[in-house]
Amino acid sequence: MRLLQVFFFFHNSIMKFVGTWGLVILSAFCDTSSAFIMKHRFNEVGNINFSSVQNLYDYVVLFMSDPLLILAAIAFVGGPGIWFVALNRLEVTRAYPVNIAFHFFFIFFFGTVFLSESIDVNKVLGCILVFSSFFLLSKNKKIKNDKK
Amino acid sequence: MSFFSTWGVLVLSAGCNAYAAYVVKGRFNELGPIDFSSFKKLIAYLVKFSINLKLASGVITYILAPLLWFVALDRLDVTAAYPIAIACQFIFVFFFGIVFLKEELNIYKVFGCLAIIASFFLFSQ
Repeated sequence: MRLLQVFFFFHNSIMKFVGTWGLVILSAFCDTSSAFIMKHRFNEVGNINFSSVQNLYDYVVLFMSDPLLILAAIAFVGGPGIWFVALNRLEVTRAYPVNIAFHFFFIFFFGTVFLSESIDVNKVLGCILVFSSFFLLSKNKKIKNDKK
Repeated sequence: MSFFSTWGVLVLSAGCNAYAAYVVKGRFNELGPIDFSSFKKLIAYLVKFSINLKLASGVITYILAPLLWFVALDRLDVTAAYPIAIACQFIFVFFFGIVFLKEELNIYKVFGCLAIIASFFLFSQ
């Protein structure tokens, strides 16, 4: 019986976390991953060709031919949607800074993993600060689900 | 380039961004938690949520913010502009949250935001 209570406590805590801070982190992930995929595609295709309407059309068709862009589009649209659901459940003065902090973290993460950018002491310290800020901002405050 | 057409535009952009977040959060506070119990209820919530004059002003500032940011970025170095933009956004979000939404300001929030600004400086080294 005691074990079951402990299980439900952890289960409820995890579900509460996923439904609030998890959404804030997921929204930052969607935002940065869509921007990263778009930038990656721009690097592949080159500068936008504005010289004529036909050239611009050809550029857009070529640009859109990558199936990864569908994922980017879903993430681009989904990011703000997820953010609004998170904002519905958390204070703006706590959710907003954490959202910004995870933008930094994911930019660093994508840059390191996919662009093989170097990891140095400053970046590691930056990550530690991001997670510290997350723990500070999510500390000791109940979730505001009640209508004010 | 005058101060107002560079840093002024940047501060205005941060203000627009924070105002949009404040308006959305304020509307959520008025209506309560999103009702996910059925698709019909969700749509009803979203319709009720959307029909609001203040929210319309938030949508305008949400669109205006990146445009102002691009104007500022055209006139300033990104390495100088970006940290200031983030810091300004925090200040505005805290201002709107504490003054108008009556959210609590505590030591954790202040140190949390300072840690984020410090992390940005470390990442941009």
